[in-house]
Amino acid sequence: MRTSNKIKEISSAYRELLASSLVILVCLLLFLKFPTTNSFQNISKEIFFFLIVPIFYIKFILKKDLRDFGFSLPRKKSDFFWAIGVLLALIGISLILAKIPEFRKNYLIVNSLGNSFLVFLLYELVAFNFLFLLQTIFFQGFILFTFSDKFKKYSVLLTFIIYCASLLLENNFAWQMAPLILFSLGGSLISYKSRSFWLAYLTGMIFIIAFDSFLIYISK
Amino acid sequence: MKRFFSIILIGFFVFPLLFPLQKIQAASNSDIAANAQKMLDDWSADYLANDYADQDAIPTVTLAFNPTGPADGNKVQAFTTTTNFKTGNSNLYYTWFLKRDNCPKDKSECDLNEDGKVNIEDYKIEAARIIANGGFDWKSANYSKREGSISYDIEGNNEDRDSDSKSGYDASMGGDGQSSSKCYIRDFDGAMNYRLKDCAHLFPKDNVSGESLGDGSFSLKEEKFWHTNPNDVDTAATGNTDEANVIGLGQESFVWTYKTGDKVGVAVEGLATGTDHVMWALPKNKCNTDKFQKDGDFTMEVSDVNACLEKNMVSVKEGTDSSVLVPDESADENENASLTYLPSNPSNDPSGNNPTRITLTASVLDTLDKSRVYYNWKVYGSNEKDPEDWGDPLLKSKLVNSSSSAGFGLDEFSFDLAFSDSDIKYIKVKVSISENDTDGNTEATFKEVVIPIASAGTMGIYSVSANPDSSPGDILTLEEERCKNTTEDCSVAKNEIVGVKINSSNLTDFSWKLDDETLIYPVCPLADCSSPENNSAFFPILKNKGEKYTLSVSAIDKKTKEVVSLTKNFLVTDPYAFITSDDKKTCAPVLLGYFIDLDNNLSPDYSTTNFQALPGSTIKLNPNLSVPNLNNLTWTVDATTINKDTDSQCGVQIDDKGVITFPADTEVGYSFDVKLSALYTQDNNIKKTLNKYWGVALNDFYEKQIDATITIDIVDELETADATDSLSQKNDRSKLLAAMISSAPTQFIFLVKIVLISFLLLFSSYFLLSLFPKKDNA
Repeated sequence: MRTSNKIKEISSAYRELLASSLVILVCLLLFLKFPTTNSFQNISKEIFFFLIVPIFYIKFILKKDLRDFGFSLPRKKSDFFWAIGVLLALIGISLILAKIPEFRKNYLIVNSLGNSFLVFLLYELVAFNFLFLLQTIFFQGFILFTFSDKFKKYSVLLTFIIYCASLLLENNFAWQMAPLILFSLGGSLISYKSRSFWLAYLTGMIFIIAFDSFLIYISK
Repeated sequence: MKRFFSIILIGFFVFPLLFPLQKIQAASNSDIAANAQKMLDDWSADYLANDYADQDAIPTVTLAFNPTGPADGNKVQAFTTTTNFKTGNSNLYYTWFLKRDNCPKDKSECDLNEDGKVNIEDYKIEAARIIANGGFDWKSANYSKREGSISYDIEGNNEDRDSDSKSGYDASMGGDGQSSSKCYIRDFDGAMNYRLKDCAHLFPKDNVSGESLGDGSFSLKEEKFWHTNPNDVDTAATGNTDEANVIGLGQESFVWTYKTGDKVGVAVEGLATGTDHVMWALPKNKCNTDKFQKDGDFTMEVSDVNACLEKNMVSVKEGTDSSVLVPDESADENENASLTYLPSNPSNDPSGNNPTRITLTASVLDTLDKSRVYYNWKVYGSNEKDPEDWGDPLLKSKLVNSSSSAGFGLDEFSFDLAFSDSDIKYIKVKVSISENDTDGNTEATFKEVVIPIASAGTMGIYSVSANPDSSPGDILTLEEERCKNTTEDCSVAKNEIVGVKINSSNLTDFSWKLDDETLIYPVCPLADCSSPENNSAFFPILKNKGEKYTLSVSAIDKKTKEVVSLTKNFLVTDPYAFITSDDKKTCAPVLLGYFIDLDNNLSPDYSTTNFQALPGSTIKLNPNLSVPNLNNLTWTVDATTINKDTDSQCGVQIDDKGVITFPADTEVGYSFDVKLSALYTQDNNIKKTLNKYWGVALNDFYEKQIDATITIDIVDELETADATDSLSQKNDRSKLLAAMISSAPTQFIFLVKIVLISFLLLFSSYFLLSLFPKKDNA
């Protein structure tokens, strides 16, 4: 009787966490494994499993405010200091990364990006930006804030682990992904501290654009 | 929130339009950044083809030797074939290096710069001395002063700067007359171009004289070191100064006295095609940059490139079991490779109406797999048979309808001889052949042949009338010209006689051949069949439908005395007719689409049976017949049969040539059915002539009803092909629309699937949550 009560107590305490974890797991698996045949379908898949399903789940199943999942804007000055701090740290690490021959050999930047500033901007601000935002909403928003109530600061690490696991699952844990892996940790930290993934997204964009520009510059 | 979802939905459909659907393929890895990269890759491949082309234009050089199996003491020549350099070979710097078998062991022999080490610099010096020396007896030369100059101290006092600069050469980065400060080396393994920290030449370094090469001054100390004649500014007699010879300006080949074990290499410096990037081409393309990425520094230096040179040495293969291709300087003596061309006496047709197509074939006996052999074809033109300089190769635009000129397995090259430049009397065709042997070494050679080209005029094809009973010489007469302005085979019908005439007054000594056999007449139809001025010929069509005749004529050009030849093919077909519109502004065939050639040029494809006309316009239709002698030509317009006699009664005009004109006085949406009918039969005199002189049985002659039918729809606006630019735009638009429409059902089904799964997921999560007990608020 006592055991049954305990189970009931635990399940009632963690019901949201368990259900949300399951949704996160299924969303990730569907995102990774749902068969597609072209980029239109790839983008659709990402929009649905990284944006629409999490939003519907928060709004209509959990009946919570989206702002609890990082959709709010940062308010405190200290949030920006965190963002700047993380950005500097990321840049510092990436400078070391750029010295690793293996990384330089395997981090491929499309040739045309280096040849045309317009194409570079178009790539970073349209193609990459759009998909990067979806990724940030899902990882630094939905996943991070699902776990942050229970796991507090360890949710940052958990988000990072889940991101790496998703890459491993897709055999994509490679040098090409190194900047995004770095950002996964730094971005989660910013998001956790500011309670907003927007700041993490902004920091990530600045970091990726600066990093790609730097690599193009030194390879010229 | 509504606005947010609206934006997402709009973006959902608009975003894919930014990228050509047919180009965007599924990225195998589903990672976000990788997807973005893939999309942009596809996208940029479409719109930035020029950038890619520049990236791909990496200069290369291949080496070949003659002879391939030299004995010790033989003179061996190493040839280079370069590609993708911006300038001609004469502007490039060829830094040759020669490593003897006893090097680096024998220091006393090999350490030429006396620095205590035997390395690539010594091998460069070895080669440069051979090039610059030109057989000069340097040992007995007086290097203390130049003839006619003031007394000169070899230690550097009283320098004779005037004479020094005469023998000197001021080198610039990227080749003679170029200037660039961007230097790159290609890492073929890593498929990357590495920029060098500083630009510098790979010229040999002379530590003894202490002076550098390419500075515009060639002092006596340098003359002595490089074994050149101090009293001759061009010791090797190449046309360049001594200093230019030492640094290898334009030195496409290198001749040395062979010793067993010798290895040779070359680094060619020049600007890459379409760029201002200085690049070096190496024979084996071996310059792996991994080893030079020291301490995390990825930018290479010239010394790093220098270190690559030893890996790019090529040995001269000996014996007949070698897979080295034999270079050709004397094609007849060469047994392993050959270059042939057909026809043997080609002629140029400046009008381009009926050009001769020349086909060149290269064959290599020793090659194991033809598809592994790389062929690069170049054509040069000149008005002299043996000019001093053939100049740059002719542009592809001058080689009309040319086949691919470079690639693996391309042992055949053909193009139409339609040079508008009548100064081209000779062409030189050069094919560079390279092959990787089993060791991964690239072996190369080239073949070239000079072909005389004559301007032979054109071959006109005519219908023939006959008079079998007249005297020989007057039996056959040329009538109406046919098969004009076409490069295709001329259609002829069985049991007719065809006449041909060469329209040129510059030719004489005509020799006619039909199917490779001399054309012989049973009775001479010409005034004098033995006359060398007979520029006409006749022959009967006796073969069956589907078979071909090849008529060729060779003649002597009165001015150049060269033999010229012309060829024309005739295809035996059933007689046929087709209808064309005389005025395409009022009546035109329906545009079905476009043909796209390999260069993405579009050419319109028009229907032959469906036409469109404007209401109220006058429709004028031509009867086009493959054969003459058509009788009873009639037109049928909307079931009313009209001929020359009844045309006026029907409000229609038919002229003497059978052209019909009638008004399109109907409304939009109406269709005319128009039919052309004729009866084909041979002319009686032709029948008699064929029977009398060629023995054709009378029951072999036949009659054939020929019909052609078209439908003319009356429309508001004619659909015709626009200018080329708009064609491509139209094509792009159509492609995009077609791709969107054709893939729309698939995308829609995908969306339905993904929406259903999303709802299932949400419902499942709701269901799951309801299974768990809620927190007891109490």
